[in-house]
Order: sequence, then C-alpha cells, then structure tokens
Amino acid sequence: MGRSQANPIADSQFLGLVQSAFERLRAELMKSGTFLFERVWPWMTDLRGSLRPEDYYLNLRSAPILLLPWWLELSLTASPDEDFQTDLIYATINKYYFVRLVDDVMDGHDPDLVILPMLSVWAAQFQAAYSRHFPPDHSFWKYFHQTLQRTAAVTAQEATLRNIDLPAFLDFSAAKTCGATIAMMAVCCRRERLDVFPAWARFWEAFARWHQMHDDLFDWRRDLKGGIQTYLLSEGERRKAAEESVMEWLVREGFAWATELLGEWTRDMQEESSRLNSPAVEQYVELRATDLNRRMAGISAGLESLARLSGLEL
Amino acid sequence: MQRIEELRKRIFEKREFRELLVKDPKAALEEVGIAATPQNLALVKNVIDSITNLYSAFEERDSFLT
Repeated sequence: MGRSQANPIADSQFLGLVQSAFERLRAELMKSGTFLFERVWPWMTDLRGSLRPEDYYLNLRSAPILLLPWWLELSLTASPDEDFQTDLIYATINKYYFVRLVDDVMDGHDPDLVILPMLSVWAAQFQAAYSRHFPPDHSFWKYFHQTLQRTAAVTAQEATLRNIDLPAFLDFSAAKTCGATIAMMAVCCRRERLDVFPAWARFWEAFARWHQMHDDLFDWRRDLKGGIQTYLLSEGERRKAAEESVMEWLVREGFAWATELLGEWTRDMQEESSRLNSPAVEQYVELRATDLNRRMAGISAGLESLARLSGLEL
Repeated sequence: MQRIEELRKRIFEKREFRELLVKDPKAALEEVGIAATPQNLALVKNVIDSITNLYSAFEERDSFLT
C-alpha cells in the first residue's frame, strides 16, 4: 500500500478513513449545539495550530495511535475492514480528547473550563464505537476495562511523583499511554489472532518509553519553567554538581546522557518492530530514528558553539 | 570566565537576549561586560546560527502526542 504524496507515513486509503471519522466527530459535536461547538472545535484545531484536527494525528512526530491498529490489520490481511477501522479511529480520537483535556487540567495548562462537560460525551462515544463490534460478554471487554483502570492508576500516581528515577519512569511516565493498545487488542479479537497481540504490545511499550524520553528531552525548558517533574530533570537534580544548575548539567553532560539512552531505546524499538511482520511499522521507526538523529546533530552543534564561547577575549 | 558564564546563562534563559545577539551582537556582548572586539564579534557571528538552531529545537511545541 503506497504512502500518500501528502503524508510520509499514511497511505491514501487510511487518510480517507481518518477524514471520515473526523467528519463524524464534527457532525456529532454539532449535535451538542452551536454554543459548545464554537468552544470545543477551536480547542481541537488549536492543538497544533492546524485548520484540520486530523493533521495533528498524522504528523511524523505524533505517536501513531491511529495508524498502529491499521498497520496491525494490514499485517494480517490485504483487505482491512474499513468500517471497523473507521470506528477504531473514531473511538481513539474521542478518547484522546478526553485524556488530553484531563491532562491539561492536571498540568495546570488552563484549558477553557466551559468545555469540561464534553468529557462524558467523549467517554461514551469511545465505548460505543467498540460496542458496535463486541457483544457485552466478549473477552475484549476484560482487556478494555483492565487497561482503562491501569491507565487511570498510573496517570494518577505519576502526577504525585516528585522525583522520577528509571523504575518510576518505566512504571508510570512511559506506561500511562497503555490505553493505545486497546485498539490493537480490538483488531486481534476481530481477526481472531490473539497470538500476535503480545508482540504489538511489546512494540508499543518500547515505543512509549522512547517517545516519552523524546518528550522529556525536547520539552525540558517548558517542563523546567512549569515545575513539571520528568525523568530527565530528576536525573539532572541527582547528577548535577553542588553549585551547578540543572540547565548547566544538561549542557555539560545531560544532553549526551539523554542521547545515549535514546539511542539504546531506538535500537530496542527497531528490534521490536522487526517482529511484527509489518514493513509499515519498520519504515515508520526508521523515519523517527532518522528525524531524531538529525535533531540531535543540530543540538550537538549548538552545544559545541556554546562551548566555543570560552574563546571570547575578556 | 564569570562574564562568559553570564553570557551563556542569558543565552539559555532569555529569548530576547538571543534575538539581540543576532540583531546587534555588539550591544549584546556589551550588556554582559564583554568587549565587542572584532575577534569577539567574529566568534559570535560564527556560532550564532548553531546556537539559534539549538534553541529552535526546544521552542514551544505541543507535546502531548508529539
């Protein structure tokens, strides 16, 4: 399946399904009335400064929460079920807006509180999309509820952490996105291929820790300014010299430390992707690795320039 | 060396200072007590692009999914 010319990671068939799911989302939102629509739709579109909310999910640097269930089904059949996949996309975007708004409130990002009542609508739409495909007694629901409970538990616990070490990072920071595996489990149940699920779940685990560390690294300034605890900043607090600031530690060795760790986790992610029978996932991982290397090279050059300032005449 | 540390600190902490360093490196250096000698200006001119790129990597972005 060829990639769309406009998008390096998504094929044109998938882009059509995403567009269809967003049209449905927009139509459902309009049913809530003009007042709420005019508050909620701008919040959705402002997430990435794009006029089309779907662009946010299809960016190379976004977590591929919509694409992985598609790639999973494509690894099992040449003819994915389009209606089913559209429902998965629709479920995931509803859940994403739910999680995103809760996160914005928990992080003190000051979202428009008037849109909070939408939470119950998004939660219901998320579950209803799966209900179309799985009867109440289907084993899918056990995984669905267990995973939602785990997501809630780790998200709540992470919010209370004041010092994040590697075990806490793996158990909480990187684990809070485990809800993304629900759509993958749905594909496995639908295709009666539960045997492949563990490999996809392991890939997600490897991706999630890589992605979270990537966030920690590229958001360090905002996190430091906002008092948000991350593994990177906690490590800085632990490793910095007595008179040194975390910022100075980052320049002296923190970026190099994070680069090495990300390199190791990139290799883990590549290894896990090679076990999925999915050229699309392997290609995606290579694109992410290349993008990261390019950005890290820019950072290294900047750090070297900062060091060269020592040559100024005083 | 304290003045160089101050320069690095301002580069780190203040976007306005980085912008000043690009627009008017002489004024920026003098603001932290470093003489705007031709050699110093040449060095700053030489490294400013990569320092700016360093910071563009960390500028505001939405980071929930990305």
